[in-house]
Amino acid sequence: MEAVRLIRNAHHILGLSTGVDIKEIRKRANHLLNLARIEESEKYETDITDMASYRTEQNIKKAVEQLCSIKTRLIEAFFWFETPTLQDFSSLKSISKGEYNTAISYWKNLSANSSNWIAKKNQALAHFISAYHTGNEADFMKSLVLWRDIITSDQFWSFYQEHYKLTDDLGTNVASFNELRTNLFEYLSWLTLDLIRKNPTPYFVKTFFEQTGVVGRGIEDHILASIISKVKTEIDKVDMEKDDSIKLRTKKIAIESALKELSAYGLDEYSPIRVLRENCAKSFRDFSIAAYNDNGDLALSKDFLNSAITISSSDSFQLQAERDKAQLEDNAAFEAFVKNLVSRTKDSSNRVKWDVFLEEEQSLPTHMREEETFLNMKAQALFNFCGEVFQRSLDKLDENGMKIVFEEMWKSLGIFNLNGDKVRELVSEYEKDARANASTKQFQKIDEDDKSVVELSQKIKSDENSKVAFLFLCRSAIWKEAIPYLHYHKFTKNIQTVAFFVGLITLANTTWYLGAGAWIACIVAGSQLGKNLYLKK
Amino acid sequence: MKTIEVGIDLGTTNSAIAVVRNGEVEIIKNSNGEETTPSVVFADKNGKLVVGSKAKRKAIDDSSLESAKNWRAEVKRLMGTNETVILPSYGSPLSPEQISSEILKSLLADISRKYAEVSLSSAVITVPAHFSTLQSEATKRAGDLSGISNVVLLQEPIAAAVAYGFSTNTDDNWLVYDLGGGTFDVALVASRGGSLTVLAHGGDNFLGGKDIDAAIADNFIIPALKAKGHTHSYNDQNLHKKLRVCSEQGKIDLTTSDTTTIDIEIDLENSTISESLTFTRKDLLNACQSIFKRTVDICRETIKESHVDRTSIGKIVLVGGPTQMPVLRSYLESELKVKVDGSQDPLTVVAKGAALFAQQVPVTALKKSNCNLPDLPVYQLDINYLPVTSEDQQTITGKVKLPSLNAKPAHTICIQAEDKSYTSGDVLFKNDKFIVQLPTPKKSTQFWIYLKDSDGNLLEGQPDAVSVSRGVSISGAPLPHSLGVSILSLSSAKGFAEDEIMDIFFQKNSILPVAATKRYYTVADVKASEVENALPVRVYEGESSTPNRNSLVCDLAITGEMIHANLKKGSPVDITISIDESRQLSVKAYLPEIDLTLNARATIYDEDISVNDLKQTLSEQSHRSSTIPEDDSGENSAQVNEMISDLKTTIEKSASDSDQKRKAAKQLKDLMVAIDNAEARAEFDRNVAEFYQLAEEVQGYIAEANPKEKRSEYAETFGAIKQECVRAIETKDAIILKQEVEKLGRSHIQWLFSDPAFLVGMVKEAEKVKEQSKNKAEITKIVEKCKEAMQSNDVDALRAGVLAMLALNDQSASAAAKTLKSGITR
Repeated sequence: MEAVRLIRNAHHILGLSTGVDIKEIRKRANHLLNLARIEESEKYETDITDMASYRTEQNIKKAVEQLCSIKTRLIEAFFWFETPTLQDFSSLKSISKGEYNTAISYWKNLSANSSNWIAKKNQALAHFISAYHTGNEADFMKSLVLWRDIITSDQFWSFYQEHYKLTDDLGTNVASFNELRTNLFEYLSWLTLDLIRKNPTPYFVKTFFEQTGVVGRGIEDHILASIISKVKTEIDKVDMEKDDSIKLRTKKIAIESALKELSAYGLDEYSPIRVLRENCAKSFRDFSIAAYNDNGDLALSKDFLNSAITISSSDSFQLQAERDKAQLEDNAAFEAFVKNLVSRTKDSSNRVKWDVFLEEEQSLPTHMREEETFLNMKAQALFNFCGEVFQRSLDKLDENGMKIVFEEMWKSLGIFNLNGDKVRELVSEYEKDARANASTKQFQKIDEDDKSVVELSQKIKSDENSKVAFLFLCRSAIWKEAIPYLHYHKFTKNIQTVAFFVGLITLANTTWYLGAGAWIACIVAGSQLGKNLYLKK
Repeated sequence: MKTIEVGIDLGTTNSAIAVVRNGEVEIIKNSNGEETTPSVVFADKNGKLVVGSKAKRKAIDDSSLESAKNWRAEVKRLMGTNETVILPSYGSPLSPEQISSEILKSLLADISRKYAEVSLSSAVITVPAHFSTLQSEATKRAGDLSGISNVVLLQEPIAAAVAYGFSTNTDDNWLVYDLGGGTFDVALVASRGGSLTVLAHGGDNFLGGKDIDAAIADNFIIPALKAKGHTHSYNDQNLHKKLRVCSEQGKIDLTTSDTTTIDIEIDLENSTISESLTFTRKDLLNACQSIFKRTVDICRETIKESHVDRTSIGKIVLVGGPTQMPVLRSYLESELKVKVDGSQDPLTVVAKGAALFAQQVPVTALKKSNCNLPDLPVYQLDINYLPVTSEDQQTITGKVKLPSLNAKPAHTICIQAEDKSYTSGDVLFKNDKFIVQLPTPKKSTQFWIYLKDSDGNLLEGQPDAVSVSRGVSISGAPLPHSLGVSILSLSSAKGFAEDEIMDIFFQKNSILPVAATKRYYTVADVKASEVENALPVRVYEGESSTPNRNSLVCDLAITGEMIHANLKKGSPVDITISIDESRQLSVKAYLPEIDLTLNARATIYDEDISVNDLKQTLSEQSHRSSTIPEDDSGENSAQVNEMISDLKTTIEKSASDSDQKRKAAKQLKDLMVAIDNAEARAEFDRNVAEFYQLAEEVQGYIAEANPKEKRSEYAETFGAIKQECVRAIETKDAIILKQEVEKLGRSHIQWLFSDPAFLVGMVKEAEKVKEQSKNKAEITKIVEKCKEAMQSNDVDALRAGVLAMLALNDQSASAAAKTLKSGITR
């Protein structure tokens, strides 16, 4: 795509009006070239600025090249004033004197009262030149609106084709006009580049993009490239500075500020910039993950992730990054939970540990308390506590201990992958059997049930934790039922011994029937007492 | 001030020389009385080099093996390469430049014989318009070797246009059709009031009369001989060469008659071919139609490129021996619907045009630095003027330089025609400068220059006269190919990804001479004293934005040894490229931080080409083209397939013909450009298709994804990406579509690798195929580890195992980058 220039328009360089033939172009060019070779120049009344510095050998040769090629000659003519009448010529002179409004008013009136396309094109150019010299934003906008009218008007293009051919001595084909129309905004972006260089404010890029949807190669290469290059260089450096958090933050700020600079040009919706932002966001996210995973630097990680969310340009990325952010927050909460747990339970019993666990878990969000890792951790704490209590209770035949184990396990049944109803049914069975066996002193059967629970747990199609929980639950259920009977039987046995001696003493001191009565009374009362002591629910 | 007097057409098969005498052009005949001299060199038994008809006769008449080894024709096709020609009788190998210089010497000797006074130290030599910079430079070196110290190169079609313009004065657009012995050029020229402008040009450096002879042999003679029962090995080079000679004679005969007979009398080792074949113009057209068509296609492309309305083309100007064929002339007229003009002798018109152009080039303006002028007490004038112009008058400017500091300043200048028809009067110097309007007389006129001091005393000035004549003027030779350097740049089309592009210094058609400086920045640190090419800078010519699709002109081999201090990444590098009127290229690099200028052009010859490389690249490109989806018209694939087929044929011939090797290299680059274009056109559609396919796969996967609780998250992400893709498809936003499709692909893979079921499946698959793998032992080990991970429900370990398995099969690391990346960026 050829670069088109505003002040360095070939006609302007050669001081010629549009429509002159090759012979005239050559003649003028040779004249100016020979002057340029002795560092001299010529002034023409249609020069819209001091052209001495522009009429160099190089620019003159370039201008000749442009006007001797059909395609570039058409482009150069299109982007220069046409002065078919004396008034047009006089308006161009007004522009050269800086009286832009005079020229603009003249061409505006002409185009308003009739479909004078040449006046409209001149007006568009005049606004552009005015914006170039004065930096007037309104002129730029008006110019763009006129160019837009021109590009969309089929009427203009059929007129212009015929009009151009009137003075065309080279035989320009129809395709050239179509090509010019297709690429008009692209060419106009080169002119805009000249304008921006003289008036360096983002407004012009922003407005140009808004009005035309085009940025243009010139603006990309000469205005945006340095900022984009800075972004890319800094992004590359982020990974290199991963061990220095201060430098890292500086890099991040530099990238954000460069992206803000691009945003100021109003190009956030320009696809290549969107991709650039997305790539930056992705790099930030990757770095955020690495900062957390490798260094455990939560603050830095969150910082980069927040930036990634801000600069990202797509919903899908933002969704992902928001999830990451939530994950980071969860991780932070979990870390605090673990920290508190450790500090509060140092050298404590499993009982205390379990109580503290239940207390501290309230600080975690609900969804975290349902996560597998957490549940595993909770199960372990529960098993530690229950294991200790169960063993002690079994050793001491402590019914209450077994009840505690059973109740704690029962309360926490939800964290295991077990079918509650089936477990309830099984437990009831075991409880019933335990009571029956214990009451009838079939201790061997209790042991058998206890062992069968272990075997049954191995058959459960579930994870290890659930199996262990099932084991605790069933065994504690058996033993909590069996232990009172064990105590009761032991008590009644002791009572029988006591009754024997009481009967014997009574017999020795009184009558045989009083002795027998005392023995029986002792047994009955002892049994009743034993029931009251051990079997009363 | 004198102008050049000699114009030379250094052709592939024939050369010619012309001089300008008193404003008239004369073709100088050789010692045999011929206007053209065959571009053939023969080394006789004494080791003496013979040029021209005598050498050619040796080739045709004497079929002995020794003679065959000692002659060489068509050396023009080797220009710019570092290949050498061995003529055993001569002894040492000869470069193409040396052989060309022998031809030039022979032509110059023809002038000396007739006009001893003509200066032979300067000459205009013509080259094909499509010649590369390296080929042009080699031609200039050939001129230097022959004793021409000031060589100005002119493109052949322009020379022809100048000759035609000199004889006809119509305001028209002309298509100059120059089919030479070995090259084809076409130029669209606008002629307006004696001023010529080249609107566009094209060509093929591997298409010419030689190919027509081969086509007649291949498509007419050999089939005819086979039909008559001659079942020889026609691949035999010696036999084929002899058949081509017969073809050439038949072709020449058909320029004057409708029918001729090709008499073949060839003695072979065990047999003889003795046949007489009737050859008609229709046979000629049938045999050569594909070549004619190719030239017409190039003409059409050139017309298209010029943006000229076809109806504005007044005539086709014919140049070159093959254009004498009536068959070709009528073919051109019927295909291009433009009348042909063969009014000038197509064999000498280029030399004539070169001579006419020569008189526009002042001798002293060429190599001022070489002029060791004695320190005479004369006032040196630097005058700017056109020796030949179509204008009625011209602005002539100049500067005067005093002979010494104490010398009296020149006060006035007066320019006077020798016939006193004009005088400028005494024009005052202003800051040692003057401006005068000089009329153009109808015939060539000498204008005397008088310098005077403030007292009116005459001062001795140099030059003391200028000669001006009215004639066809041309603004200068246009550059046939764009020229630039490869740089690393940010490509907006790829989301500002770093990309190697050709940064154009000079556009095609820029008028020579040209010079420009551009500032770049180093892309990496450059360490002083490092031996390697630390700052790769490559100069290319061609029209593709991808550097390696163009022709490499030269490398700038800047090594650390050349610099005395380290350069940090981002240091400025000013690259200056200049090309003079003779296409002599100069490339300099200036490093401002260490104030060092390097003229480090490392190469002056074309790249070496290996047939194996050509074959391998062709196979890669064929594979590439097979992945491009068909367009609606099928035009893309048809064009690419045709190119691939042509290239295969050329590569087959490359093994024994270095010319074909270069042709294949050129065709390969053209093929790559065609595939690039086809790929670019198909990329959006391909991404759309990929999106729909991937979307279907992903949607299906999400329904079955593990762990189950991730499904809603996946679905949400998929929904967001899908929405972006649909929007991009609607707005035809290729950049965003590409990004989102890539993102969807990445997410899919990430999800799969988090899915235990998928990982287990991969392990099972690996177990099935491990027997066929060359990494069986490693895979077995990894599979075992994976199984352990599966037993212990360790998804991370399982994933690591699967990734390790995939890494074993990953070949990507071995795909090394073929091209050296540029060391500079904007």
